[in-house]
Amino acid sequence: MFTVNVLVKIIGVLMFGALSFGMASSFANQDGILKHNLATDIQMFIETLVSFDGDSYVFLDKYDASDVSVVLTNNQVIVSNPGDLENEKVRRVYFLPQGYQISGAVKGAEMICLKKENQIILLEGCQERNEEGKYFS
Amino acid sequence: MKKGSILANNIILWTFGFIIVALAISLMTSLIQYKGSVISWPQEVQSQLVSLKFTNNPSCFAFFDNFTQKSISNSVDLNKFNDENLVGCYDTGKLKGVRSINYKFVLVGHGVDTSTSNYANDPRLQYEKEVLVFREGEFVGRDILQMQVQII
Repeated sequence: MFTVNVLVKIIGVLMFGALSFGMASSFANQDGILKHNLATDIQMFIETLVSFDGDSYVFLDKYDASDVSVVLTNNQVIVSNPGDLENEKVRRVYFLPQGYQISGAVKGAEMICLKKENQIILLEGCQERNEEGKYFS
Repeated sequence: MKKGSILANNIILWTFGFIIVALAISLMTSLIQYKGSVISWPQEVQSQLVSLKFTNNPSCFAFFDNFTQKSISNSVDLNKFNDENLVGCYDTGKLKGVRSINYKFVLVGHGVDTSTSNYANDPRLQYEKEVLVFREGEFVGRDILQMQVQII
């Protein structure tokens, strides 16, 4: 038979195990992966948009961004979930040529789009498709 | 309880605990590695994408044709190929303590070079591509643009 001492030890080991598994799963949560990938994709699209003449519209339709907020500042894109602490927000930096303006904030949009007109880049949500399958903001 | 029985219980308990902790640690390690592999971009791709603007955007090195009002892709205007102009195109010096990709550009045939604000002569990657070279609005020929990439 187990004594009280042994039972306490078993409970302690189980609690430590549960804590470790909890930490492991929080390290690998899907939200974190989505935030990192979305932020890097937006960063790379912005870098690409400023590399070419002409106006463009980019649909980031492989992401369901309804649970995240995305903010563009002059130098970085910030992707976060509601209630994220500062260190949980994902940031990616870009350096734009002089003359370019960039702005936009999207929260809970089903789809995210980047629009470039002349030297202005805007981030906006786009939700509806037309008959050709294109998205409208 | 007998002494031998207590000892056996303790051994079983510690073995069980060790297995659980080892499993948790290995799971955590593999999940972190998995997450790292899912979110990482190859540095070559990032640095190539970022470098596109240097030879395509007229605010950087690209030649702007006033007649057609278009910039010429993959071109270098020698009047713009200097550190001063590069700061206006890609100023990594304005954000402190931030990871950034820095470049040194060498126009091999013309023997001129320029580099971004935080370039510290520690290149990790190097690319070369052919560019069209312009001076004072005139085409002067083709040259090789060497890009040395430093990723902090």
